[in-house]
Amino acid sequence: MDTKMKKEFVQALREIIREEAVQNRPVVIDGLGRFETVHEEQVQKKMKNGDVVMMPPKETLRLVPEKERRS
Amino acid sequence: MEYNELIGEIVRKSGLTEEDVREQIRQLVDQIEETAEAGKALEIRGMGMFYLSAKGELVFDASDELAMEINYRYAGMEPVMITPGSSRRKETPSSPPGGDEVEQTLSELFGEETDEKESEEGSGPEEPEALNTTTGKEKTSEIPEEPEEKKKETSTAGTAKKKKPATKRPMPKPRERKRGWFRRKKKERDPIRHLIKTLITIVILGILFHFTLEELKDRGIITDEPLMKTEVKPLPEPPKIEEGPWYGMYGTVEPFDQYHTIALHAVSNRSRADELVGDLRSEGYRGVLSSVEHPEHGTLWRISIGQFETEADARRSAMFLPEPLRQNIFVAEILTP
Repeated sequence: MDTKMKKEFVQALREIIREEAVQNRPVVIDGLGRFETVHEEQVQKKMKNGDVVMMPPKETLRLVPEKERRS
Repeated sequence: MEYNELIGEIVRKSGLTEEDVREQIRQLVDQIEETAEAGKALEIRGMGMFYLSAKGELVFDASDELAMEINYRYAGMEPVMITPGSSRRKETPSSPPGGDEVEQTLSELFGEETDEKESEEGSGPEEPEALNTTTGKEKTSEIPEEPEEKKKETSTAGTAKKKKPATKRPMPKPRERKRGWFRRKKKERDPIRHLIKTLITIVILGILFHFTLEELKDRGIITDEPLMKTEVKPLPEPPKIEEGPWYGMYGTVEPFDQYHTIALHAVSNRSRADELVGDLRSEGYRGVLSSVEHPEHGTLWRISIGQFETEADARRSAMFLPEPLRQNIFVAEILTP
C-alpha cells in the first residue's frame, strides 16, 4: 500500500479541523469518524497531596469513531 | 462540516485535485486503522495522535499546539491553588513545590501525555510510527520530521504511543509560611522559680503602694475623711391602714349604712331565707339577708351576695359568680335605716 501523505494535504486538514473546532463545529471524515470539541467547565480538583486547585475551563478535541472495535 | 464539504475545502486550501484529496484521506484512514489494529499509535505532527484505548476504541489526542489553538480564549489561565495540602506545608525547601506527583496529576487533568500511557505495550524499542512507514526518504520528504530529541524519546518508549515534548505547565507556588519571628519557642520553666519571682514581684508592688499612699497622705492629697458626707435619714413610717369594714363578695357582712349588693332570691318564708343565706355563707360568700315590703305579698326576704361600694363594682363582680347563682340576678342598693 502506498502510504505517501502529502504535506499540503496534512496541513490543510489540520487547519480545517482547527478552524471548525474553534467555532464548535464537527468535522466528519468518512471511514474514520467525527472530530468534535467538548467543553469542560471550570472545576475544583483535589490533588493527591491534598492541594485544592481551581482548574480553568478548556475545550478538548476528541474523535467519535465511526466503527466499533474490539480489542 | 460534512465529508464532501471537507473534501472541497481541502482542495481549495491545498491546491490538490479532488481525486488526490480523496486518495489522501483514504490512505490516512487506512494508515490509522492499520496502526491502531497493530496496537501502535500514529502521530501526525502538529495535529495529534491516534491509538486504540484499553477498551478498544479509537482515540485521538490533539497535539499541544492544536489544543492550545483551540483553547485560545482561555489563554493565560492557569490552575489556581486554593488550599495547599498538608503534605505541601510539610515540604522542605529542598523539595520544590508541586512535586512530581502533583505535576502528574495536573497532566492527567489537562490531558497531557504521561508515562502511564506509554507502557501499554511492553515490547522492545521500536521505530516510531509515522504517516509514512515505507521508506525513510518518503517520511522525510512528505511529513515534517520530528526533532531529534523527540525521536529519541519516542524510540526509547517502545510503546504504542509516543512521548510528547516535555511542556509541563508551571505549577503555582504555595505560599511560604514565615516562621520564627512571631512564634517563640516555649522555654521550660521551673515552677518553684516562677512562684518565687511572682511572690517577690507582689511584695515589691505592695511596698511601693504602701509608701506611695503614705506620701500622698502626708501631702494631704489623700485624707481618711470621706469626700462626701451623706446623712442617712430614716424612712418615713408607712401610713397605717385603718382596719375597718371593707367591701367585697366574700367574708362577713359589714355594718355599712349604704351599699350595693347582688340580689339572688326573694322568699316569704324567713326560715327558708335563713337557710339559703346559711348555704351561701358556708361556701364563703358574704350572704346578705334583707327584708322588703311588698304591697301584695307582705314582707319578703331577699337573699343577696356581697357588699359593694358602687353599682359598677357589683355588676363587675356578678360576672364571676358560678352559673347557678348568676341566673336572674340584679343589683340592688340597700340603705340601712
